[in-house]
Amino acid sequence: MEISDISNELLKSAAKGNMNAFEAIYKASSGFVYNVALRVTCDKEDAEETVQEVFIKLFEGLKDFQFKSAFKTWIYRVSVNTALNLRKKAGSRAGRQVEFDESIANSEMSGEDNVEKIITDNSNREIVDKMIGMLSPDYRACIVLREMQGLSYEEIAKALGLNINTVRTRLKRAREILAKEVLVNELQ
Amino acid sequence: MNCNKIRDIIITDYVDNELDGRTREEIELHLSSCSACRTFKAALVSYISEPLRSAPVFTPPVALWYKVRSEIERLEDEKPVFIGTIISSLFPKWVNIAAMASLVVITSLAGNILAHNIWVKASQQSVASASAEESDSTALGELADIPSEQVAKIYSNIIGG
Repeated sequence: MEISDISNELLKSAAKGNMNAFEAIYKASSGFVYNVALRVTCDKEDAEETVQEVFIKLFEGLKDFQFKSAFKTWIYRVSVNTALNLRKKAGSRAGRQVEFDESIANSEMSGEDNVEKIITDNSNREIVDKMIGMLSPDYRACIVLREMQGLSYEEIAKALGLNINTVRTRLKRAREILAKEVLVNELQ
Repeated sequence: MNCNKIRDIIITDYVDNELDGRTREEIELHLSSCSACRTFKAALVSYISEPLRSAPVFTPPVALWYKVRSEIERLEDEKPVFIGTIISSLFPKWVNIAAMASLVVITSLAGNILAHNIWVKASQQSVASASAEESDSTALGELADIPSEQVAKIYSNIIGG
């Protein structure tokens, strides 16, 4: 089950305190939250903390989500904001540029992976990690939501509290930065 | 549209499938006749979009759910429990509504009875004080029968001690 498969009935049931319904919601949406947080924070522990914070907030505010459209927008927005806040804290805490955490490479991969796929994924992972690491948090959030999570401009705009033109401009700018780095520095 | 304008669209709405059919056709037509823009599009897709779109997807650790659940349960345990909440959770919604309506009616009746009692008591007190005042005025009225010189003498005695 994915976020879009979460029904109004499931949300209502979880809002009444049904922990099995809440677990079903968690299973359908924690993958999205975790992957967005991993990409935005570049840190496995911060990503786990993001998941924990988002679902505690969700449990407390479930009665406000009688409709799945409101829930989808909420989970997109809170996931990105929580991850961005944790990243800011981590950056200012250590006074460092947060780079992609190598321990992510030991995280569980989804699906059944064969050797060939793992090798391709590892090579691709390095490229993606470098690319994502080149972007500022604002550009990174837009790119992650569009390229990795497949959200439309309208969904990204709602999630980040921006207008669609700003989303378009940030995606353009982010891709120009990546193009420059990839082509000039031969990242490939 | 010139190449710069076309590339601005390619790098955003075109690769993101946000274009309406007519503009998309216009871009496709330009691409079919402009090799520079075709190269630009191909590089964008293969060096940027493709790697990002096929990036590995991670599954959150299984233990994370148990952490989330135990944290929620801990927070729920720390919340103060109100008797009203317990009662309302025991009965169906219509029973709670009926109970609330009854409570309002009972409170209103009790208020009316209390107000009535206070009013009756106040009336009785007012009657009692009126009677007392009446008896005082009667006593003074009795002075009317005394000759005026004698009254003046009584007053001067009282005032003078």
